[in-house]
Amino acid sequence: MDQSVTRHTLFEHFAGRLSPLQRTLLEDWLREPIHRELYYQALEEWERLNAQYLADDETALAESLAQLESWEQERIPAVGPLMSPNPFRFTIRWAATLTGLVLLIAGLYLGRSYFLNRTIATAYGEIRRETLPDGSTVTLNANSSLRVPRFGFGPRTREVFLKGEAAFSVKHTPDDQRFVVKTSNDFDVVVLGTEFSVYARQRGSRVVLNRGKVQLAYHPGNQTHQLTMKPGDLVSLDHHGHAALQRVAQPEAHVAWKDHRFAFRETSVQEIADLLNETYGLTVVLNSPELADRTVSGTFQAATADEFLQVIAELLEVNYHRQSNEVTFFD
Amino acid sequence: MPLSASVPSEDPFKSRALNSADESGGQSPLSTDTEWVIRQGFLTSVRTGYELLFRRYYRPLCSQAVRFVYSKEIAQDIVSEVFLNFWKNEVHNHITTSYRAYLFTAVRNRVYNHLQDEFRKESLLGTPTDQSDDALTYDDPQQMLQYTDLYNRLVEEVRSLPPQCQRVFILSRFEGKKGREIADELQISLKTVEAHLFRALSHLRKVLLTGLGALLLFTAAR
Repeated sequence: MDQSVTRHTLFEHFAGRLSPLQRTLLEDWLREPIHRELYYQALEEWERLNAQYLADDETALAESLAQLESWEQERIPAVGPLMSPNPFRFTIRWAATLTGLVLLIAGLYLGRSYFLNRTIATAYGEIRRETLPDGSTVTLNANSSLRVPRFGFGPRTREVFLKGEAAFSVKHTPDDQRFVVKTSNDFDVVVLGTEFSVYARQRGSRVVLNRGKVQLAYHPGNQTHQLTMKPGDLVSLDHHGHAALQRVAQPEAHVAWKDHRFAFRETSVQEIADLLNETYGLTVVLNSPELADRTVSGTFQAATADEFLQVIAELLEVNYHRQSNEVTFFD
Repeated sequence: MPLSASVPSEDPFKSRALNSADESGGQSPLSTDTEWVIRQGFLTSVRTGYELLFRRYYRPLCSQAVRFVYSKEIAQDIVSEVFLNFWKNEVHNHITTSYRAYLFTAVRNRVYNHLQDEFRKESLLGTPTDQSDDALTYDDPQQMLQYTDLYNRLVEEVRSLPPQCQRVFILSRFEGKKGREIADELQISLKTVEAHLFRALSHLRKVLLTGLGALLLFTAAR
C-alpha cells in the first residue's frame, strides 16, 4: 500500500494546511477506491476530534423516527392517488413554466435576426437594385438575399450578409469606414470604396473586382487567410475553402446579369443548367452525356427563363421541353 | 483483528499507516470495524440498524455540515434529510461503500446544493436539484478535495471579519438568534447588528460565488 499519504496528511488537508504538491499527491492517492474509504474514515475521526459543536442526536433521532413512522403509514393506503398527484402536479407545473420560458427565450433568440436586420430578397428570375443607408448600391441577382442591420448601419459598422449573388458599388466614406460582405460560404470581403461582385451559392463562391481594392478573408480548414485583390482579379473558392486567383479580361462580363444579360465563354451546358437552377429555379434534364459536355460562347439578353431557354436551344441546335419547373433538352 | 477479517475494506489504514502514528483517544482497539455492529443491526431490523447508524454518525456529520452552512439548524436539517432518505430508499440493501463514505458524501453534496440555492437564487442553475441520488459523486477525488477547500475558505473568510462583526454573524447565523436578542446581548443598537450582518453576508456571498463557480465549472467540465 502507498504510504505517501498518512492520517496526518489527511488531517492537515481537512484543516486546510496542505501544500499544493501534497494536494496533488493526495488527489492521486484518492483514485484508489479503498483510499477513498480511508479518507472518510479519517474525516469522521477528525470531526470527532475537532467538533464544531455537539448536535443533540437523541432529539434528532426521535424526530426522524416519528417522521419515518408517519411516512410509512402514508405509504400503505396511498398506493396511487394520495401519494402521486402532488409531487407530480408540482413537477408538471414546473416543467410547463420552464418549457414556456425556454420557448420564449429561444423565440427571442431565434427571432433576433428579424428584429435587428432587414432582409432584401429576390425571387427566381428577379433582379433588384437597392441603395443602402450609407449610399452604397447593391444589385441582387435572382434567388439571392442580403441581410442589412437595421440599427447603426453606416456610422458604426457596414456589414452585410449575402446568400446568392450580388454586385456592389460601395461608397467611400471620409473616415475610411470598412464595408464587409459576409457569406455563409466561409469567406468575407472587406472593402474600402469599390465596385465588385460576389457569388456565394451552393455550387461554389467567387469574387470579381471591377474597380478599387478589396480584401478577401477566407478560411481553409481552421485557418484564416487574407488576400488582396486588384481590379480584374477573379478569386474562386472551392468547398474546402481553398482559393484560386485568375485574371479576367472583362470583369464587367461577370455582372452582365445586372441587365439581364448573359455572357458565356466556352461555358459548358452543365454549368448553364446549374445557372438556370440558381437563377430561375428550374431543374434541367440532359438526356445525353455528350450534351452536358458541349460549350456555349456569346452574349445575349434574356429577361425571362423562356427567353433564355429559346436562345440556348438555338445556340446548341437542340430542342427543349418545359413542364412547369422541369426542362428537358433533347436532340 | 478477528472482527475485521469479515470486512477487508476497513482495516488497511488502521493496521498500517494509522496505527504507527498515535492511537487516538476514545477508540478501543477492538472497534477496528466499527460498522460491523451496524450491519448486524440492519440484519436484525431496519429500525435497529437505523438507530445505530444515526447515533454513530449524526454528530460528526452535523459538525461537517456546519462548516459549510454556518447554521446549526440548517446543518441538522440537511443531515436529518440524508438519514431519512437513507431509510426511504433502503440504502442499506444496496450500498457498496461503507455507511460512513456514503453519509459524508451525501451530506457534502446536499450542503453544496443548499449553498447554491441560498446564494445563487438569481441564477437559473439553481433549479430544484434531484436529491434522490445522494451518493452521486462518491468516486470523484477532485471534488472530494474541493469540498474541503470550500469550507476552509469559508473559515478563513469568517476569521478575517472584524471581531464584533464575527460575533454578530455567529450569534445570528450559527445560534439562530434574532437581531433584537443579539443587540441586547452585545449591548449595541439593532441597526449596528443589521449592518454587521449585511457586511458578513455580502462578504461570504462573494467568496461563495467564486468558490461555487469553481466547483460548478468543474462539474460542467466532467
